[in-house]
Amino acid sequence: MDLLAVTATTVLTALTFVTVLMAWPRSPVRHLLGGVIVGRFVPRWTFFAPVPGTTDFHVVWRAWEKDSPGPWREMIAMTPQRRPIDVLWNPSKFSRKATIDIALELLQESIILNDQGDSNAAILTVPYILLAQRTSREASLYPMIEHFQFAIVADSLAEPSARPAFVSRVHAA
Amino acid sequence: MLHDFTLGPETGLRATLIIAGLGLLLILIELTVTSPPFLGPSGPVPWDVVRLQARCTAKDSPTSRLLDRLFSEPRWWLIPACSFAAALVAASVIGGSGLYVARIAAIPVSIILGLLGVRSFYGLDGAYHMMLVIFGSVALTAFVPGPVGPQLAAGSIAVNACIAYLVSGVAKLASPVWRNGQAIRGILSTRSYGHPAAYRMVLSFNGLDLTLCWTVMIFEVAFVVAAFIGGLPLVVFLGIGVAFHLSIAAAMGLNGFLFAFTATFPCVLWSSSLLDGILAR
Repeated sequence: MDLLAVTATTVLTALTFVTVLMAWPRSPVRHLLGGVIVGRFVPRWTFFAPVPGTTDFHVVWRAWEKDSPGPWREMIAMTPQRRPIDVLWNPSKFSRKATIDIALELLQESIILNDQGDSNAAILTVPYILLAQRTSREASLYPMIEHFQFAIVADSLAEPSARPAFVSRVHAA
Repeated sequence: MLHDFTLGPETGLRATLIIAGLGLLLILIELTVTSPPFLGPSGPVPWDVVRLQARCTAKDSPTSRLLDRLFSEPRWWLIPACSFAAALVAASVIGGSGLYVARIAAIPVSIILGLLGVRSFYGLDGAYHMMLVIFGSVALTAFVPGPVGPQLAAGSIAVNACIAYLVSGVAKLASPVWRNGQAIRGILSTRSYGHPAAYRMVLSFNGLDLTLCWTVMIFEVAFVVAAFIGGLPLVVFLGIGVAFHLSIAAAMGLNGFLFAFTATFPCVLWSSSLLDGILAR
């Protein structure tokens, strides 16, 4: 067999094998690759399982003036509405999915940091910084705002009353 | 060809590349036209923050500086990416040496998909990963001479498709909320991946949620069984698969999955007929 063919077969087999190992929840491969950027390229294939997403996440923010909070406002652009045309053309799916990914990662990291007794470190995580930066940009549209705070709220058609899943610190605008 | 439900590896791979190429073109154009640009500095995942996820991109280095320049304006690489994807589809459609050109074109396409993953995994989904499998398999075998190259690529795509469905099905079977029917009702109740009319229908008909959950699980687990059986049952099964992904696109807005996963079907058909031939001996 040609050397190129042998090499290609070996590489493809190894990659497929790694994909299979990543599927096992307690596999050493998942533990090894789970936290590094290379591991993100390995597919998991566990769509909506074992725990399916059954809530919507919304990012909301509010201004703080003289120790008093203002009303919560939703960042609608982060969770665009679904439309019938989405079956064919759905550019807003990226924002919607990104909001879910960021919210879930922040919630998971907060839980881990809380368990480690270091909940303050949440502000150093990438999802927190992403949301803080985004909120800062929103707040900058209102020059009078000096401080802001953001939150992630969860709801669904089954449970329409929004409940806070994460509330940030108050930051200077 | 199809009258005896077999497909040659080159024909199978061409069909896969056409469907996947069209799907990739759709995804790239969708990314290019978002306003503000999804991958731009005003989007939800600005590079100056996302880069902090990995040490190699967070620290100052020639690589990170190159990525900074590249990612400062996403259209610089998204528009050429669309051109490569379009060229790949066109080459796959053309007869003769077109497939060879398409296999070479899969190399820059795979690199661009890799860049997309480095830029941000936030917002990407399973359709992205399946595109990576398809174009990565073709790219890795692009220079393998003779018929072996397309056979390796088609085989890899088929095996990974079977693994994808099997893992997905088993993960659901292991989940109590999928086994008791709550999962689909819960997913349909969301605005992100749900559908108000479908949610109301599931609530109105007793047992519909349970039926749908088990239908999905059985379909996914049975995929690899159908691939082994081959012939007419596999063709019918793949037809059901197309309908499955169409319904997911309609109900959940996952239009990328329709292209990414159905693109693997021609390779599955060829691999099944190859397996049939081997076992018959």
